[in-house]
Amino acid sequence: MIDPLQEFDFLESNYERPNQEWECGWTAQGESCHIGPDCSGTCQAHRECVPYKDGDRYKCARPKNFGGRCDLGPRPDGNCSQRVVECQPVRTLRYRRKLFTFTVAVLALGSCLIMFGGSWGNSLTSPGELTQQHKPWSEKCSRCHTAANGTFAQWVGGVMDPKPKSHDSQQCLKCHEKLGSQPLMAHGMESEHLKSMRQEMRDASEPGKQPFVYALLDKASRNPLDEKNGLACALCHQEHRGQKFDLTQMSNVQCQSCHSAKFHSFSDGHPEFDGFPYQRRTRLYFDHVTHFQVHFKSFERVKPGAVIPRGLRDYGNGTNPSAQSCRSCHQPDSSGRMMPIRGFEHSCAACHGAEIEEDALPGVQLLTLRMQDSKLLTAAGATIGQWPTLKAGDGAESNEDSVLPLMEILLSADSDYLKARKDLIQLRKRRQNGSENPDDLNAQQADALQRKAWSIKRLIHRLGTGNKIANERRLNYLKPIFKSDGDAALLQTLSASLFRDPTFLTALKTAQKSWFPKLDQEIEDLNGGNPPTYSPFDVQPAATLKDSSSGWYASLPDGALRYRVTGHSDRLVRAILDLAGRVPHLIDTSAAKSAAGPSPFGELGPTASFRCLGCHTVDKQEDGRLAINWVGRHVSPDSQSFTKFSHAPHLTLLSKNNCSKCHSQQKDINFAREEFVSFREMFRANTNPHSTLTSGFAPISKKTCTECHTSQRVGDSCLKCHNYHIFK
Amino acid sequence: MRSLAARRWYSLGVFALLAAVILALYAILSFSIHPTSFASGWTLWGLILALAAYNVRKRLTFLPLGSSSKWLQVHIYGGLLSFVLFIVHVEFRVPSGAFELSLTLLYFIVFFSGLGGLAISRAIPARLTTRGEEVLFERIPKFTKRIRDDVENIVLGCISETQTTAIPEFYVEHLKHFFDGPRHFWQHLFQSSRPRNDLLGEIRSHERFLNKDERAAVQRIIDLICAKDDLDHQYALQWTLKVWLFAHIPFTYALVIFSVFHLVLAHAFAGGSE
Amino acid sequence: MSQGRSIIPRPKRWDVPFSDEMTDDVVERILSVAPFNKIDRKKFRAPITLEGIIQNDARLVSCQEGDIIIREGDWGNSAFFILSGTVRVELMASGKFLPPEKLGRPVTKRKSLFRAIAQMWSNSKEPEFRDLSQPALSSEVGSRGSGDRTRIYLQDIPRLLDKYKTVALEAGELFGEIAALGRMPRTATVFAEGEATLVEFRWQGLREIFRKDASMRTHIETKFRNNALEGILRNEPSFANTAEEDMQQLLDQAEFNTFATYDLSKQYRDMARGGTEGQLTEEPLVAKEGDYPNGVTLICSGLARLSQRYHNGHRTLGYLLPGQMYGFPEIEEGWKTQKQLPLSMSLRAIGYLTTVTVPTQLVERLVLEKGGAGKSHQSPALDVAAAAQTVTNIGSDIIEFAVDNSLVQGTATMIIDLDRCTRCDDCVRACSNAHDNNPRFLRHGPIHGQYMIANACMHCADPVCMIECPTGAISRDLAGGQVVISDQTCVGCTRCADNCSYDAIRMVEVRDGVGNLIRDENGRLPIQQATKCDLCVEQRIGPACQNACPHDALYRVNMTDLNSLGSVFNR
Repeated sequence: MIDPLQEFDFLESNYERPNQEWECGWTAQGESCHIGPDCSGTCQAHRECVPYKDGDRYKCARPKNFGGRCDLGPRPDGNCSQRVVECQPVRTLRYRRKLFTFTVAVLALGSCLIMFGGSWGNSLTSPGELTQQHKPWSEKCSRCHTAANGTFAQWVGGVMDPKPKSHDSQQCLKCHEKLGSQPLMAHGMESEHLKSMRQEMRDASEPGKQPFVYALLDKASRNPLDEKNGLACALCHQEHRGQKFDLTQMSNVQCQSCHSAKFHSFSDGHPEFDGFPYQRRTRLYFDHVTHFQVHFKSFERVKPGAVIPRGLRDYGNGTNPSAQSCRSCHQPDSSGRMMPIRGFEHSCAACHGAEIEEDALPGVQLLTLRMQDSKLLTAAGATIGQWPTLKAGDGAESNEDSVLPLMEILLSADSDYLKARKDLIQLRKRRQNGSENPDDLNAQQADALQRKAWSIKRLIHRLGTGNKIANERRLNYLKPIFKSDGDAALLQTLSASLFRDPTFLTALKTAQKSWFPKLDQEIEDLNGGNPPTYSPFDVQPAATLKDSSSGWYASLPDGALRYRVTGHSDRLVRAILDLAGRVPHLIDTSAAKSAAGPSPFGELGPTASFRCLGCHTVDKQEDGRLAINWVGRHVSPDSQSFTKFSHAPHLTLLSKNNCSKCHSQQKDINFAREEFVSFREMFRANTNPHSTLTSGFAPISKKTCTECHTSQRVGDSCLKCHNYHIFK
Repeated sequence: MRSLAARRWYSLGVFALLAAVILALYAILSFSIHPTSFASGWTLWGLILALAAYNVRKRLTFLPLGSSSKWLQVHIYGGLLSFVLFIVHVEFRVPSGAFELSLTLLYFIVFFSGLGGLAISRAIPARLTTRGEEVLFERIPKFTKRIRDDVENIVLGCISETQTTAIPEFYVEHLKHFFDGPRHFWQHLFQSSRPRNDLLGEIRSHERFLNKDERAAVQRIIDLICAKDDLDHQYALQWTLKVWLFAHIPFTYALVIFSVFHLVLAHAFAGGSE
Repeated sequence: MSQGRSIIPRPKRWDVPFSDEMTDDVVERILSVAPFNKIDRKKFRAPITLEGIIQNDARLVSCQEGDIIIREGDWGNSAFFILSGTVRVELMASGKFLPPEKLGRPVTKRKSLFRAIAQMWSNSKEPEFRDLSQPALSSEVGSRGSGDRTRIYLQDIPRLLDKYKTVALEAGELFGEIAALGRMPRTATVFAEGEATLVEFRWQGLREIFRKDASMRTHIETKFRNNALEGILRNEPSFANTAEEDMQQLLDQAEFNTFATYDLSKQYRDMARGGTEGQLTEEPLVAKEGDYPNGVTLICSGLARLSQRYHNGHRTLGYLLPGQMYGFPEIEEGWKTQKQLPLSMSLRAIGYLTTVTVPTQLVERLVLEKGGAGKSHQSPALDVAAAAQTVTNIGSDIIEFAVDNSLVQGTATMIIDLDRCTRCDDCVRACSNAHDNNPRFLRHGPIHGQYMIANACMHCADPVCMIECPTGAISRDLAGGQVVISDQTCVGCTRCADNCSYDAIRMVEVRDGVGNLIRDENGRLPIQQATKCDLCVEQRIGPACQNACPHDALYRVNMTDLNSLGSVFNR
């Protein structure tokens, strides 16, 4: 064995100095000198020692711990004989590491500066590929990021600045413009609206169901709602995640992070549906119960020659199960979302077409003359000239003050009538209260009634003279009141149907000849300032002329000018009904706002009230107008609401078009009939769109959906049924 | 004084707890509509700075900043924790984009060099004590030279004393290279005794050509071969212990620089999602 | 190489006298009083003459009333001779001590925070830079003696005298020499009662006198019996409550022994390298295993080895430190069983040892019969090895290694666990940073198993390095007791380095600010100075090496404290 390599003795082992920057260049050769380089890396060694003079001799001065006195000793000239070969000192290992560290740091800083400063920095600094749709802008950061136009210093300033900054969402909206008027607000809604919705949701949620983690989340994160700047698009839509990344994906929990009522999943904690899809009553009243259980079994009342819908043909005998399909009447629309009725002609006309055109029913009234007030006036000595003796009939004996809507409008062009109208309204109110004798008139009211009678006669005269322009001017009176496009269309329809329709003039003239044979003379006298010379009740109108099965006709004995419909969706009747719905609003807003007045529709005759409004329900709108739902539910493809449901995918998934899987009949036939009967009267006051009137189907419960819509089966993500962005 | 084993369990416990807290917070915050990456990013950045501060602490030995061993414990478990945070920060994806990829790469270099360094620091010291004389790394060249001088003296002695060239020839052919400097780095790193056995085997196979004096010389040379081999072993292991930091420290600085740019960029281009 | 300011005279002993006020008159005056007038001056040969000693190793100290001369607990390197006046020694036995704040304990002269931070840039770039152009007698020297150190004094002496038990020392008496020569901390506080003039002797000078003059030696031993012994006995719980008259018996009959010699360092060093067996046999035997105990032995100073016969050799089981007792369990056990029990272990002096032995029958009569038994906590049990095992769980091989290499001396031994050490040199660099960019230890040294005892100063309980220092440049720090070297007074004689058997002291060639070696003005030999670990006495953080070790590999261990030793070895 050899001796140990190292000595610990202070003579053999000097301090190691690993913290020095330089070491002797001979170290690697194992021959480092004891002097070593100085701190600037210069070799200091020349000779092993500097000999000293002792008397006249030089002596070696090498210290003990560096070898002690050498054998050779100093040279005679006093120099050391042990020459040290000068070295090129080298860096120590530690200093080399320091140098390497510095180099790497400088390289890193340099490459960062190049990446952020260079023109080709975009592609390097981009954190990932854009989706397919946004790909064209991959090389143009400033298309989406306003910061791309800033400098690095500005970015740093942005990080330091704690104030919230306006975000880049405006850049998104440059292309994505169809997101409503307030696209950045939560759901695109105003915050007030949002608050109320939130409260609704909170009230509806089941108490105590809030998952624990959400409670934590509420504590841990701030509400993202920023009422000033709105929500940034980038909060949900995270780009740079690759070409195929779904930008619209959003997790349930993300939705719930804002919602104050939180729950586990659709099946566990989601509020129960509130009468879905019957949050409002159906626009068309259709008694499915009675139809299924009674009518479709017999088809007793089918119009002769009408075609029974294919699917219904064999309903009764049940031999062909497929014939029981709901799709006979309901077919998916183009988007597949809704299942609208296929239309009257297809679905209803076979049975109900004839009903509408039934001759037995009187037509819709336009003008009507009254007997009672005329008699009162005559008895009081007022002069109203000629006035026919009318048969007691529909409307003939009703109060004089109730005026048909269109007639009221036409009369309103008469300044005399306008003067009287205030008193007439007062009279009407008094009579409605019913506390006094309706026949007691004061002088003022009598005068008003007289004026009204003459106004009617003047109107008939004017219309009869066929001065189309003046007649149309009467309608123009409406123009300033009609505001919407729908109103203008209504006006056109009326104008076209009344004054350009020859049957109307014929009927009017017939009526005038029968009721007021001397009308021309009377009007002439009146205009000439002469008192009327004819007395009332000496004209006995002839029986009604039935010269046509449809269109205008004069119902002479009961003093009415009527219109018989030409079929389903008769434009004029629709217009008259629409007008009737608007009249209280147009004429007297205060009256319109007072709730249940007599329905204006009843006056129009049974066709309108029973035939039209038997199926088409009436909604009272906020401004007091009554709107008739001429069509069933219609959803504009441009609008988007919170909830979405599409029938089409469900139809293919469910076996055999089994609609009853979701739409189950709720009511028995007796109940349905009762409701229908009560509804018959409801056309008068049926102004509540939220009334319970339904199609006879039970509301769909959440349970219906949760059978399939679980996370394990077809998915229960919020976005399956709900939209984030809503707009109209 | 807490025993090292107890401290390890304690630290692992704290680490596991913190990791669980991070993951739980991530789970909770990921429910939020806000991206979690800003919270995790800032935390990670702070942690990386704290970890890098250990390097600064090592320079400030004369200030009462807590003992280096406590710092190292925090450094080790903080480093492990940074990996959890990193995974959470990148949301279990591999980032795309050149800059972010290089940032990731830097992080991995630093993290894994640290992990490797830890393994080295724990495994090699015990191996160093098992074989060869414990020497200062700086003195290895000196000892190498001393051994070489000894061998060469023996070899030269052979020429002058025995007048034969068998040993000198063998030395020049097979041993000179071995004695010239540190050799067989990798074999020593992986604890192979193959180089020593090969050399000794070669010598023994030559022994039959030698006379008695020469065999005595060879015996001394064998001792020196063993000594040199042990020295090589020390060199290889001590060198490794020192050099792994060449990866860990420089790239830490690069990582910090990159992360500052990343941080600024992420905020400037967040588009309001922060 | 640069000349000029880098050239200074080669330092010599007495280059820097203890005081430059020692005129010949003063020296003669001291030599005219007892006991100095009885010393045979012929025994002193040039250059170390008695006059020279007094001139250079002594100085006059004038005290005002209340001035504290020495304080209990301080490490003192000097003894005092009262020339005139009276001083008071506070008696330890009184049970009531002057509170430290009254004694005005000096605050450790640590670096301020700013200066600590400033080391970042103010550390010299060149190795071993020394600014030796300043006058040698700087604050460093002053503070070691009394010099320009503000003297602390006690107020209201009469009240103190009532309150605390003190003994007066009159002119002609010597005090402090036991601590100075025995390298022990001061055992009592001494303060001036009125105005007093004292002669303060550096212990190097005192040692010369002591060596040459037998009467002085007897004088010191008598003093020891009279003054220090009671304190030492009372410190041991078994004797603490002994009645006054019993104590007097103990003092009278106790036997004071000194083993080995004072100036043994050279031999000791050679002996230490002789291996365990050789070392054991060379060590003076205090008591032998198998003999019947003739008394309880108390260690006063130094270290003693406990060993037991094991097959054909001796096995080291432990070591005894000052204050510990030997032989008590055997006597106690024998007294209980009424049989004579032989000693279970041998006791040997390691290097320098002073002991006090109290005879067996006194122990039985005064201690055991009066119920003092079982109170002793400093005496090792019968089976030391087993006891050590249970307390510390340290293998006996480590103990033997530590004792053989005399590592048990160390109060701050640097132990490196090589299984954890990654050789990163953080400890060396931290040491460097704390010492003006110079490391003060080497990360190598003897290895036992996985433990390396690095070549760093252990701050021995009995620092042999201090023995031969001609200038007193190596001394104990007044506050903490660390062994430190003063650059201002070190003459580079290498005696401390030679004496240190742990290779903890290194000689360095000092340099000036630009890296040139400083040479003396005559011979142009480079100036060397001794350097070693000072436990970072100036730093705010304790030993920088331990603080800087990232892997819990390096510890500074007080080997005299078995518990802390155990906690390190059993991590």
